[in-house]
Amino acid sequence: MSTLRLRGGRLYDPAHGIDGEVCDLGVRDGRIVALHENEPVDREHDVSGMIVMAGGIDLHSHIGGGKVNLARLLLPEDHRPAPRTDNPLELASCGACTPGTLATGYRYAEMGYTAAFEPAMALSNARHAHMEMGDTPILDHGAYVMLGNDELLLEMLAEGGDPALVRDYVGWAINAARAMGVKVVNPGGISAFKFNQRKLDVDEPHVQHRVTPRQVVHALARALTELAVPHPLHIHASNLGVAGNIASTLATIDALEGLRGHLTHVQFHSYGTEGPHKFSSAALALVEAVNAHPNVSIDVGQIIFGQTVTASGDTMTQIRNAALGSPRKWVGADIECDAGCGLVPFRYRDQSYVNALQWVIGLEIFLLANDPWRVVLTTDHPNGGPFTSYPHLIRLLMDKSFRDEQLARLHPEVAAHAALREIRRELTLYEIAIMTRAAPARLLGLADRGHLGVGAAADIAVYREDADREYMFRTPEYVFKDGELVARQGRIVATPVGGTHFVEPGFDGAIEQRIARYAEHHHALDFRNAAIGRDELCTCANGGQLLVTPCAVHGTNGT
Amino acid sequence: MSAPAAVFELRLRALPRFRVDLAGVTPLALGALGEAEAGRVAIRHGNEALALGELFEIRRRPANAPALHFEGDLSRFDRLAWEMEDGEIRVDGPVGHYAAARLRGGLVAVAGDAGGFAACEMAGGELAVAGSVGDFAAAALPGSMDGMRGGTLVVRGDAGARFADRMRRGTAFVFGNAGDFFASRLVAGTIALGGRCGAHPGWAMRRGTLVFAGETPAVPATFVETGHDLRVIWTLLARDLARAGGPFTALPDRRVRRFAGDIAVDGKGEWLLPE
Ligand SMILES: [Zn+2]
Ligand SMILES: [Zn+2]
Repeated sequence: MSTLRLRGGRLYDPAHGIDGEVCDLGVRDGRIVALHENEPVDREHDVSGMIVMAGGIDLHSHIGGGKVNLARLLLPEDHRPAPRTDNPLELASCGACTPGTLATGYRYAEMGYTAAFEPAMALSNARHAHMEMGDTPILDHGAYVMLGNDELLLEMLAEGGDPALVRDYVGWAINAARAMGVKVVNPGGISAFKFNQRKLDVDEPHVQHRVTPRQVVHALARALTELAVPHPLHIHASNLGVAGNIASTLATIDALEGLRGHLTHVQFHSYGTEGPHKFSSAALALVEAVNAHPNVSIDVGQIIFGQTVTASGDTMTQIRNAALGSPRKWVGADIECDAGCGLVPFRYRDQSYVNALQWVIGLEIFLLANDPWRVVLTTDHPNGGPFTSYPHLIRLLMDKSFRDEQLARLHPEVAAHAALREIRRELTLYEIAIMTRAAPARLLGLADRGHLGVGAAADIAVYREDADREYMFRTPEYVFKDGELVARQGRIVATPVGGTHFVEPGFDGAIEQRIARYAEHHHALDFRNAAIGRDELCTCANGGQLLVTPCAVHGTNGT
Repeated sequence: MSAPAAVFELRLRALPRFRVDLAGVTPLALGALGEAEAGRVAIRHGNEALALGELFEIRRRPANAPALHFEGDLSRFDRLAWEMEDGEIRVDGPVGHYAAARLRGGLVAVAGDAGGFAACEMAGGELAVAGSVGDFAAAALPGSMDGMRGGTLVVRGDAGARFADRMRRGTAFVFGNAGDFFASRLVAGTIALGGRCGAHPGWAMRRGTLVFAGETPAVPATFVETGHDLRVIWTLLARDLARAGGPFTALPDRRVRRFAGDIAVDGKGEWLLPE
């Protein structure tokens, strides 16, 4: 038994409405507990004047799976300036926009994050994703399995889309891949691309299956609701990056018909066609729709200027973007006709009108949205920029004068006309704590993470108050993972193995016959090897804890 | 230059146990230092930092131009003259990998062999290797889009595979033989080969000139004879290449056939095959 007390910190725990209250925090055996003031403890840290939050949770960050590894292979130059650490605990690992698994764990943990979720795990490549995340130290992790471009689902929908059949198939897929949820990427579009369609609007039929993205989105959202999976359908909407795509985004919200949905990297989906460049901010229209639809949550996918690589399951979009790559090289792939990926290196430039406006749109979404519980802070790492830029992003959101300084450096037309200039709002520490911990935990259904209440996992970040919020959030004084001190003043001091989050929705096993029949005819992978067993997951996850989130939080169990 | 120039003689004390990274040890960087100071310059040996003086006996004497003269077997020393801007480095034995990689100016002369990636991404200056070079000489570092883009590389021995892969400017000579994929993905520049080459020479080359002074390679199907009258340009080029000596001396006396390719890509490159 080991106990720990953080004495005198200012707590920001939005899940309990605690907004900067000075309060001691007790920990016993990796869990937060109520300790009597005079109770002796094994370790005590005086954190008076410091800010105490739950560990950060990134619900959308590409940290594992085939495309992440392909991105590393595509950009060996990203690994050249190897930081030569003098920390014997850190094994050799480097990379900025394509960090190695070890560097991913170290860099997240040292800025106070304790969990990250891979949003685009290919069903047939789930083992790889889990292994790579298992190799990522300190962080807890999980992944969303990609559905909605797999031939089997499209076939089912083409046959009329019996909801029970779709539900059982989705339930099987989540269990087989040991996923935390489902992501749909460019619904139906990636498949349509293989039938020579180069775009697919929300109500445009797939030429082969005669199914529309609207049907795909609705069918998946319904299945997840019936399976009572806590994380709503994770939606990468149609027409990513295309001017005027706000229409598709609003139509996608409409397709949900009130069912829960999480629109991811919405910055890339909030573009209008106004102005001299026929490219404008539709942040206001997006935010109004989100405000009006309590069933919808978002993460932003803020862009950050500099070199990165776009890593996406959206092959259709990435083939279009390949010509814009910098440096000009790219990779595309498809696996088993159920999912694929495209990797295009990209350099966001502040003197580019389009990039400058993308930067503005992301910030406008953050600052205009009125319910932070439905807005999650992301850069869609590495698509908008590496996750290591979060402290910078937080400062942009919390510091109007800093934001104005950056805005003034952008492409002059954007700097002069952006609506962002008139937005005075500065996010508070309480709101930042919601967007980076409390909201993602709630959206994932993690009852014992993202807050500091009794019984929660003792994932805790302690920051030394500093007017420069970037510095403050980059270098927390203490970071605890399950009660263990893992980082001290930006230096890793322990590297425990993280756990794997997943859900196990019930489904009717009869569906396996159909899946097996399909796999036998069309897949290279034997159906008998499709599902990842618990023991195998444990091996993949490097012996880390298996963290099952129950599937009955928002409704009745699907079985 | 304000500081007086100096020649440093660096005699290797003993073969180091691990590989040593010589990046930063350049004539200009040492030039302003005294003998003892130069001995304290930190370099990487395996995973640890080491003083230059621990590996070399260092002697300094004033000179008109900055230079480093290394004595000993430097085959475990990588990144000799890395990104060097100016000055002269001479090595009386072999060197490790990345010799004169990203060189921008000055002269580097190696009396023995050089390892992999010699003169890769070199932009100016000259590397002369009396022995042979490993794979990817005059090519690109992994991930980079461009190989050598200026300067002169002279290899008096043989070259490994992928010689001048993605090279886009400059001149390179190989007196001996070259490995597979000689001048693959060449974008521009001139390369003269004195011996024979391995499989797939000029694979996917877009522009640039290859002169095969030694054994005539089999011409792939994606290269076509152009039948141009080359007398004027060949007179100029051959005379220029002949100055390198060795197998290139007799080039001006030979007649030449020209092939264009690789037509699987841009097809604007040329092979000059002297008869
Ligand atoms: Zn996406
Ligand atoms: Zn993403």
